[in-house]
Amino acid sequence: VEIEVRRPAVPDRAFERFVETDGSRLRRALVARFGIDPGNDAANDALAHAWSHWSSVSTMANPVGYLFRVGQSASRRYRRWQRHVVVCTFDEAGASDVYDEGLVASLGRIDHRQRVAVLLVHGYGYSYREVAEVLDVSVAAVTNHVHRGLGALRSQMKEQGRTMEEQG
Amino acid sequence: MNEPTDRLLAGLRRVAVRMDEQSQSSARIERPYTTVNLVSPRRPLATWIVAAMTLAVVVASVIAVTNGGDRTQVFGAGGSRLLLQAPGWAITRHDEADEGGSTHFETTYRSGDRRVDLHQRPRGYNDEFMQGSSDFTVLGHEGVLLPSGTELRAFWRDGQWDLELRGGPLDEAEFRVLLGSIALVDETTWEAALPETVVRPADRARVAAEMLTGVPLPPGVDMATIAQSARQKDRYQFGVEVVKPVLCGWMAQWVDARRTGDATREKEALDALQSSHEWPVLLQMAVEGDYPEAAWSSIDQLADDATGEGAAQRFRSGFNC
Repeated sequence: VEIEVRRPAVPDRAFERFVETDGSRLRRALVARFGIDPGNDAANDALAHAWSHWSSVSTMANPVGYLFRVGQSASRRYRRWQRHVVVCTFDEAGASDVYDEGLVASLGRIDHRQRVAVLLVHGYGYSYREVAEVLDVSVAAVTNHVHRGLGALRSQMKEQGRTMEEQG
Repeated sequence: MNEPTDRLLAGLRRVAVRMDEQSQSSARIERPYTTVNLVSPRRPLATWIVAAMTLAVVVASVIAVTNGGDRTQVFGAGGSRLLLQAPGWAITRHDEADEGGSTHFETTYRSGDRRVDLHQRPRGYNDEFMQGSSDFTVLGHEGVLLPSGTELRAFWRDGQWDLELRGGPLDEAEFRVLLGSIALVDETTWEAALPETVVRPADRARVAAEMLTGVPLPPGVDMATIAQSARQKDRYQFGVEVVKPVLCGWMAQWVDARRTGDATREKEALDALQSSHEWPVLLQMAVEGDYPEAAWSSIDQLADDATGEGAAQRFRSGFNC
């Protein structure tokens, strides 16, 4: 494993750059993993951890993957009331159609790794490599998660459509 | 690409946009009680940085900050305890963690499907929330009430401690009743209110021994210190405390044996780590949280020459070995 040893001349700027780029990928992944509120809380905790341990985090081979695990650990205290993960909600301001609401419900029911992979790759357009980095798994594993996740979503959406047709 | 797939992918892109919108809006809070614009309840980056710096300064100085004559309540073992005593509400979880030279207390209360958490942290954590005028008083201390989605949050300060009550679903009147029911109690009353799932200091040695049943211990690991802490722990968090030195010890042996070419010790460590998939303590913890899963994901890569050393390194940094 290659470890990039660097000590930025101006750590604050390096940290800000990290937050702007990897930080948003981290936040999106944690929201996809745990839902909108717990995910954001976990991302805040992970970034706070990054700040307070910046000298070591900045030299890691895969800081975003490490911080995803930090966020996972932190998320435990933020999970509440949810039987299924809710990655976003639709109110009047975010009015959407029935399909999108069904999709969010389906996303909440599929395997969490598949959900993160599907949303990052197809929702946000990250590369498989970028997603593999966050989840700290191989590109092949991400490919599998995406493939299976899309399959699971298709069958759930199909089922929902059938139910809606039956209900008139 | 068939049409259902097109539709699905377009839907995923809309969901992603909505996730980003809500991530941004969740960093703000509407506060109908005053016209003061408050900053994030979720601590945006800048605030975190300020908070981290503030905490570092406080810890480094080791000198109690003067606070305009406020008394400083002594909390925790040997001091008073804050107990929410509203009828129908009971503690379901309590955890105390040492962080940055101070102690953080976190207590979960439930009543049916409603839940509140009482956080008690070193002074400074509430700075960003206590800029408006007071909305309530708890034990003589004025505080600020904020709605946050389906939750309500209340912030107040008692000497060197910042307190937050957060939870829901509750309406404001119900939440205020909860705030009004918070009382200072002695250790005996507090102990009586704790559920069995909280590991008390006196039980630490026994529970640690139970958790380590069937767990191979690495040479030289000292589990005695775990029993010496005065902290009351949530069982899951106590499991982390107990298991971490064991996992780290075996991982250190694996790395060392690999470096020195000692195949026997390397295999012994690998066998022990791989057996963690069957450790009752981790299987129990896996139901509640991701600690075991995160450990196993690294351990499972050890046997592969291509990924082993990287996995060990990630494990040791990620788990603060």
